[in-house]
Amino acid sequence: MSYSIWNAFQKEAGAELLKLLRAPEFFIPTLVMPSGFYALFAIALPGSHQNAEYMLATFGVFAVMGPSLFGFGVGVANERARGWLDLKRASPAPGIVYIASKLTATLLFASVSLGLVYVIAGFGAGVVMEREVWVSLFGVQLLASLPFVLLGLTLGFSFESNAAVAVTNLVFMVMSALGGLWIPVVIFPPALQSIAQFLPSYHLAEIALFVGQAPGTHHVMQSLVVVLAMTGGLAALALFSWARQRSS
Amino acid sequence: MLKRVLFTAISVVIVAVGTVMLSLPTPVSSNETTFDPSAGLMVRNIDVFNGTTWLDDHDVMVREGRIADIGIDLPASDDMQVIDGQGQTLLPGLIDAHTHVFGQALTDSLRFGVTTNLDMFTAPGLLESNAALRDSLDQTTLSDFYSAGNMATIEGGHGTQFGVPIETLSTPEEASGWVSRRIEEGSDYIKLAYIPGQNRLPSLDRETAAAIIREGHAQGVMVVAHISTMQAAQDMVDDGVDGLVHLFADVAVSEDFISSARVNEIFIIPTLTVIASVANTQSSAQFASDPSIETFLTPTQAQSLNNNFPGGIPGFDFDLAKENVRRLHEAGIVILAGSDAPNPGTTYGASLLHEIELLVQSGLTITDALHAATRASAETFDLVGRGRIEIGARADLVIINGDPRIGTAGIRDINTVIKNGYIVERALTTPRTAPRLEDAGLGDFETGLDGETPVSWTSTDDSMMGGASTAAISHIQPGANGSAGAASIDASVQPGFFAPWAGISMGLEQTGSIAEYDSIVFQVRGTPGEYSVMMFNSTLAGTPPNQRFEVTNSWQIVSMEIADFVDFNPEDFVGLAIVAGPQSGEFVYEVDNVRLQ
Amino acid sequence: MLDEKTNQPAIIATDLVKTFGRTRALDGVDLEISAGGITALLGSNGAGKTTLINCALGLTAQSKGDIRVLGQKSGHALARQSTGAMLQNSDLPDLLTARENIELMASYYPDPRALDEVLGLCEMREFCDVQYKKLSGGQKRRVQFALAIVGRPRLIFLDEPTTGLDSDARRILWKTVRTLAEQNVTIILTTHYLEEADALADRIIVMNEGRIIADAPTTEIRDTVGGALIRCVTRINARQLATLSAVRSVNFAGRFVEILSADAVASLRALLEIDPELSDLTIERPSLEEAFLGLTNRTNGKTDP
Repeated sequence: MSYSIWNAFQKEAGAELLKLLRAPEFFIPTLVMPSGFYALFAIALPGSHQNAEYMLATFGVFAVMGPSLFGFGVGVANERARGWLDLKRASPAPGIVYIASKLTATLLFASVSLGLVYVIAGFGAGVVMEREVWVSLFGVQLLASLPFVLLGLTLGFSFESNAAVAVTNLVFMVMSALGGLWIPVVIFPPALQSIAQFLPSYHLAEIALFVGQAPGTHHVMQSLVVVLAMTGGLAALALFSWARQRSS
Repeated sequence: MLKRVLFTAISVVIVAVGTVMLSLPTPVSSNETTFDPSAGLMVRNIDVFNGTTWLDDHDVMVREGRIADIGIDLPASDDMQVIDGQGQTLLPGLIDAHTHVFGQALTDSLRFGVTTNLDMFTAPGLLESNAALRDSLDQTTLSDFYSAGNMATIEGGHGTQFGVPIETLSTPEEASGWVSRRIEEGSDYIKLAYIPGQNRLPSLDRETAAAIIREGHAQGVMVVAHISTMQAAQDMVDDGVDGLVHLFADVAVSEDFISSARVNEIFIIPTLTVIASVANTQSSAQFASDPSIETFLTPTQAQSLNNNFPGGIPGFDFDLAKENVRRLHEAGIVILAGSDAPNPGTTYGASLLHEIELLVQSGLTITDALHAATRASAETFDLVGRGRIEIGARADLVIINGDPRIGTAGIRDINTVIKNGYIVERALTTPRTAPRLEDAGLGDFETGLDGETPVSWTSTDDSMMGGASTAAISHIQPGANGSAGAASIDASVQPGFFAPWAGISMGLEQTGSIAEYDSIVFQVRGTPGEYSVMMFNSTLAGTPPNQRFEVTNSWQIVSMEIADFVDFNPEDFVGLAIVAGPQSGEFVYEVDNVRLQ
Repeated sequence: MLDEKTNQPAIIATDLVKTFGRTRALDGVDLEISAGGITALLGSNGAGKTTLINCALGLTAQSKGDIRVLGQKSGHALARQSTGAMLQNSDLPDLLTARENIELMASYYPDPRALDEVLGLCEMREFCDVQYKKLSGGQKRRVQFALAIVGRPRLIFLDEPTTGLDSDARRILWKTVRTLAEQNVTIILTTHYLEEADALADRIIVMNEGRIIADAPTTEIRDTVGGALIRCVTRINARQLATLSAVRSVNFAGRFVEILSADAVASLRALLEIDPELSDLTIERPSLEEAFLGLTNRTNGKTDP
């Protein structure tokens, strides 16, 4: 990375963070919702404390999914609609700087959101795990943002601003609910359960459950292969949608 | 400056997340409970009860699973774990002289310092590899046991009601072959049931019982007798029995009995704990509520201690039993401590501590009571290296807080249990539950009660064990969380069998392996209360491996680790049951989506 | 003339075509803009000015033909490093201040102007720390203009730069553009206003329906465009009309004749003298297109008897 790209990246990532910090009406709910939901599901509901460790794995994926999908899906669509993206493309700014700085801001944001869930888990819901399990689960969940970032990019490049908000919300709900991030998929009728197999959220949760040493059998290798394939597919889709909107 | 924003944000997030990561709770590291056994263990400055007498403020050194030295200011090597025993008492590992080894007997008893169980009837299948196991000095979570195996009783008599396959006999002529088959199976001694003249169960006649005693002695094993009246006890003593595994509580012991017992040098295991339960005294429930006991009880154990014999049995006077113990002890008859766990009102391990207290209540000194729970049993049953703290004895030890010679409560407050020279993890590991399932459905009850794989669902109850519970099952619609159907069970759990049940069960047409699965998961709702899952192997020995769970009025997911079903062999799975019980009552409940995961 | 840094002409377009569905936004544009100076693209909405600029910036891929910017394919990284742009519909991030927006844009260029220099050039110090969304429309355009020049570009595209600006802001922008032009920076701007083109540009290119319909130095246009359009029915022929006082061009439209005159009174007086019976007379200021059509027609008229 040459100095100028590195320089541009630092400033652009800083700008992304400033934009985030100056929109508390967006970032506070996004930040607090996962930990709030987790507290509800893992502490407040009767009998739920038994599942606190299990739900830490799934709600952690939920916590990174929000910033990733919305930051990229809605964010990119919005900046495209404003023409800001056009101006950046006309400027010498490399595309990688745009993506990398958004990714950096998203990861930092997701870390905080995830951290809050962990605080609730460790100090509220009574989850006790080995230090290396805590850390590796955190790392895996942070990495889980990648496929959602790519999906968000695809949505952001494919839909106009208002449509992108609606579609991203829909995707977010489907990924969360049918992927078993709130309630285990086993509770759903078999038809809905089979949908989960096609959702990255389900497989990421499976991997997180394995890493978090949650009870039950988790076909981690299978899920890992599926997630890698899905991530590759989403990357191709994101590149395609980027190129397509560019040539119009 | 935009760069400053970035680096400030990165620093803040790293510090914040790092702080959270470093302060999140981790399992309490158990440094004190792990040490290198080859380096050994030294307990310093502790009051030692060696099985007979007291050695105050001594050091005891353990090496390679045995006691290496006893003395004052013993030299310890640097790598040796040293325990300061100031203000504590060291006892030999306790011996429960009357238990029935089923289920979690060996782990449960070890948590309470009982390092050796003398089983008085269990499934003979358990004895096969036992001799080698109990001689081992490897680290273990299990107590050792010696066993009578298959008890001697008549067809339909005492011992046949528990569902364990049992070889009965009815004539003196059968005694010789019967005894040799027990020795072949691995029985360490012979137990017979002699309860004539009572109308609940038939009994061996006296001639057959006497023949068994003779044959046992001829073939070199001890013979002990289960009796419930003084008359029966007198008969057995007269016929040469070695000991009684219960004390009668029907009448005050006579001078004639005392003198014949002394002449014949018999021993008596009074089992005051179970007599207290039969006599409905509730003393076990009170004992179980002590925090130093309760903390280490599994739910099953706590349940058992809170039970009494259903309805009580006439002919048992607890005060009379204690008085009889006092007089026999004063007359010099050998008294051994035994609990008869896991009968209602008793449980493995904890009930032996209770028995020691009841012996003290009867008039034994704490020293005599501890002797009865250690060395007396070892000597009576010729258990080499057990029940004593001597150089060369097994390093089966119990450290209790305080000095039991001052008040009796001190016996309950166990600090550390050492088995084969290793400190035993006493903390309970609670079974973890997980609301997940996905493969290997056993029953989704969408369209009926037929299973998903070649399984069949039927009602089940304890009538095969002689109980009185009943169950009826039906298919209902809809099922859990919008599924099409579920199984509904109408269960009536009635006293009869000692662990009554009624519910629904599934069986495979032939045995199958479920070793690749971790847990059994299902959804349930219904009459709130305690329920159990029982797992069946093709060979049944005693109470099926089981775990309990609570039911509420709303659907919930129950997940049980298959590994937590003690003594269950997942390679030989023939079925399971989801049942109400063992508490009596009427239960209506629904079960759905039973799966292996 | 070649750019002094890149040794290339600013723009060369060859038979450039861009279609959006059935619309031909650019319909065979051939164009060369040499380095230095200010070129104004003039034309009504839909004439193709913005499409041409988007092609030059690489934001839009042409359907046919070729366009090279500073010797590079349009959109090439090297071209973009020397290019600055102010687009017509391009809002900046709402929550960043002008200063932050400029700092960010500057970071993309290898040798940007100092922030202070830009704030000075654009005379925007007093609102440089206000978040973009709180600025007035004119102030927003000025921030956008600042972004176009911060990278010290050799070539600047300004698409309708003064739309929505008050006269003060317009004056500042014009001044800055002229200053840059003096530094041999090539500036290409689009505008609706002839006055703006007249005030700034050295060269004016007129577009209509995706084609270049006129392309001339400003001085020439200043001489020839303006005046009034006299429309009437007359029996006098074109050749004679062309010789009348102050007449620039003559064009027949059906039974009407349209006379573009630098001095309507003088021309009309002369016309009435030779044809007192002329009828259906109207006089109006010509639209830009009419002015330039007139310009081209006059040229035609000279060669076509």
